[in-house]
Amino acid sequence: MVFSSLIFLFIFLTLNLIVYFCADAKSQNKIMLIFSLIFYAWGGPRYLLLLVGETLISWFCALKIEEARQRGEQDRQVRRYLVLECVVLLGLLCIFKYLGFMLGNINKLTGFPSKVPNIVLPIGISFYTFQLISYVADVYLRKTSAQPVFWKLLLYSSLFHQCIAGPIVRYETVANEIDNRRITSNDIYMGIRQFSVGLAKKAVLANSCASAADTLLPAGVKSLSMQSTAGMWLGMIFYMLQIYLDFSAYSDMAIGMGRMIGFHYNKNFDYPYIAHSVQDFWRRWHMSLSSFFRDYVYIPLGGSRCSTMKYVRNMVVVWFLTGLWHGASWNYIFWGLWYLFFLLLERFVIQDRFPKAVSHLYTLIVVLFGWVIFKFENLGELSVVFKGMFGIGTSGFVNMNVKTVFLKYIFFLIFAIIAVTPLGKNIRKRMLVEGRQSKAMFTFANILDMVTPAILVVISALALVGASYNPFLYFQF
Amino acid sequence: MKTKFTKEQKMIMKKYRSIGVLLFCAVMAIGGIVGCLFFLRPRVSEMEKRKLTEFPQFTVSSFLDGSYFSEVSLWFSDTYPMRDKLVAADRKIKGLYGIEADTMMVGEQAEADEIPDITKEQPSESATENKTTEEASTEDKTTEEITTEQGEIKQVEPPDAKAMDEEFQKQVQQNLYVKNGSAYSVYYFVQDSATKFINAVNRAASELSGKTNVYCMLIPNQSGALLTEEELDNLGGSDQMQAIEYYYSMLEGVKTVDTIKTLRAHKDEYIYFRTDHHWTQLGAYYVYENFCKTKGITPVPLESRKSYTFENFLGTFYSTLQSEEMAKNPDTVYAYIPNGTNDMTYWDEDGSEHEWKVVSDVTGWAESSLYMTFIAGDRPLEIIENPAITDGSSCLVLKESYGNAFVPLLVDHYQTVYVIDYRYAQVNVLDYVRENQIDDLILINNITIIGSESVADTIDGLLQ
Repeated sequence: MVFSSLIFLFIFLTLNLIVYFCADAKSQNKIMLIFSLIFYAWGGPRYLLLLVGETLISWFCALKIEEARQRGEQDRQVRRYLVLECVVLLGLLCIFKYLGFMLGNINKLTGFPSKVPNIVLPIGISFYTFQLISYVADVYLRKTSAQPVFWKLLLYSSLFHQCIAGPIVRYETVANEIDNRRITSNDIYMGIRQFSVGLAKKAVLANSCASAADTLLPAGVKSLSMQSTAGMWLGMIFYMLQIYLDFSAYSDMAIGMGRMIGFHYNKNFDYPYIAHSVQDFWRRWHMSLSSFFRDYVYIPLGGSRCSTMKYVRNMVVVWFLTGLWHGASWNYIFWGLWYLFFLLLERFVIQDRFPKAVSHLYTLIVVLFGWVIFKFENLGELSVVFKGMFGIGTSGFVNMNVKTVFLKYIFFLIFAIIAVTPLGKNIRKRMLVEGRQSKAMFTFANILDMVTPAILVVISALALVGASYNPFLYFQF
Repeated sequence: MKTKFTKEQKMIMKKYRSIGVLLFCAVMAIGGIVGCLFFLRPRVSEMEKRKLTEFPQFTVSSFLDGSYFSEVSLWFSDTYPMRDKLVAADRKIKGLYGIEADTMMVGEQAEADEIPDITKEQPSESATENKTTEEASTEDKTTEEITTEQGEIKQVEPPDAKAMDEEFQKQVQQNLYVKNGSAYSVYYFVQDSATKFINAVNRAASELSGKTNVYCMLIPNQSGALLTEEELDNLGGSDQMQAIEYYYSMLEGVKTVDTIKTLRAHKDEYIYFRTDHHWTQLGAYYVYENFCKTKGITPVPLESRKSYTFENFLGTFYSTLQSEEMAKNPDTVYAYIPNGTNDMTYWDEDGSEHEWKVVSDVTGWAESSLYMTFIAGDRPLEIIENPAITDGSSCLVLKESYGNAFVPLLVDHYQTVYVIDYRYAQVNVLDYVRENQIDDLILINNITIIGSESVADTIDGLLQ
């Protein structure tokens, strides 16, 4: 089930909220667990076993770590369980996500094995694997204590808010809230608002960007090479907007739904397209993933407080893994290395030498070309578009098809660009500040706050009726 | 929020927000309740002209791999009560996204093959080359069919009608030029399809030589018939005049009928619809006059026939583009009834037989279906017997929907008119012609549609 589907919105979530708020505090967690398991099973019940199994192993390993600690065992012995956790979970992730890709490459080089199995990626495996590893690692690092009750850990790993497409919520963030949640009326309102904003971001903005991007960048090397240079730029700009709106929308909905029932997840995006450097971009983009790699890979390897050579090695490892995490295909690895290159360039060459406007523009261009690499798994298509954006091999600079799309979306495009900046948020804030003095402004701002969620849900529902196009991009990871 | 408010202000904010929460809950509840009103769920969409997603059949495998539930989700949103109205409202909102220019291009540019020059020797050489490879591959097919279906009329692999329809739409609407509420599809010449089609028609002509005349008409699109040379140059794509000349020049033993020159001479008349990819019956009439000249008969003028007028026709282009401009200025269908008879019989894919009218009264039908007035739309097989003629003359029209407006004009010249829509038929046409001792085999095709490889393949298959 995707969040931006009518059946989720009007049936699943509505029922979930009704049942949840009618139940007594004791059974609320169980209700969330049951709904989460149904939600997960909706996308293919057989992988439920995998999710439950991985949670069981993590539950066991974390408890064993604590037990061993209490017995006063050596760190090496305690670590065995962390190693076991990592081997099993990463091993399963490799089998389900990367085995086909690895065998495909080996097959190309050696001709063996002759048949590459086509393994279906279990939904959300990349996200819940990381959540569970972070849980066991945090128990090992004494950042949090182990969860003694299995089903409560299963609630954490399977909670439908974030189980299948993030954000990657750390166990320590919600450890306390699993058992003690307090909901204020403000939490409910803020949760509802963030959810509605996310829904509209996805159903209205991201889906429209997608349809423009798909028109301008049709699949296939032949079709793509008929596109003009301006068409490729416009198509990629739409894709750039789409991927942020799409992914951050999912996080907004997850965070919003959590907040409605008293869970406070950390934010996952912080207006990445206003970043002034590539490094800054990664502090703002998919923050739960970058902080995962920072805390569990980069820092354990020594981070930046070591020799230059070691630092470079650490960066290579982190960015290779970041690329690979996004998908089992070469273009994702290239995408990770693309960022590696610019991050090293920034650290050793550029530093702070660019004026503000230039560094902003440079960041956007690096990110835009990054998305070109990211978008095309087919390397033939990738090279057509990459070259095409420099005017090589296209059918001309611009054609009437591109002008038509541009005009058809012109106001939308302006709106979508504004929507990826904090402008809207700042205006709202400003109105409330002004409202302290001006009564009219205060009332206006409040009415706006009052009707926003309902209106956004109605507009989103309209966009979702009858629509057949709807997937979240990040579902494939 | 760091901003400091007075206690009173905080209370007011809280009140507004509580109402906001209630409004949200109300919307969700209404959405949920309406979603559960199963009896209100539509099965077809008038607006999109399609059957909506059906509730899926439960199977263990579709349950396990998740496709059962994803179908349920799709069904839920696709057949949501009042979906057409809601979708229309959404389209209104999307209309605010930007500007619909008077002239625009919708779709994507495609790649066209070079149309070979018609300097006698060179192309025929390449064509024979193609022919040998083509025929080599088709021969295998024939032997296979003969061994499986000995004696009887050879059954041809039935084309997947739905896939064909989609291919058809894709082909015609791949790249549309829209100007002042009329759409024009851009034409792309495809050499492989052309070779396949030419070989198939030549083979039919040589097989039937001496017994049946084979006529071939290739009808240009709106763009080829109506736009100025300058506009056509700007559009890209291939030259339809040149393409039709090429096709005709490659045909042997086939009587070709001029189409594009005549249609261009009448380009200021109402010979094509603006909102639909078909031609009008007036357009068909001008080509029919040429056909009569080629065949050596006298055409029956349109004025001498009774006619229907159906207003407010919004066809396939409108369905795709949903253009306001088009809605404001819909088409009119003028349909002329044959003098001899207006009765016909057609057979559906399931073999069922139906009595129908050659030109039927479609008053009150959906605004998108008015072209269906002609010969019951697209059917696998139709037969029209004209009691006014008793000389035993007959013709078979092998067509797609472009032929529909043309067929009624032929009725007054033959005792029997057979019509086969190659997209739905499963009969070997040559055997059928021989068996029924048909005098004229008339192929009438739109130039874009035969450029589709799957269409060329199908025709090739039927003419084995």
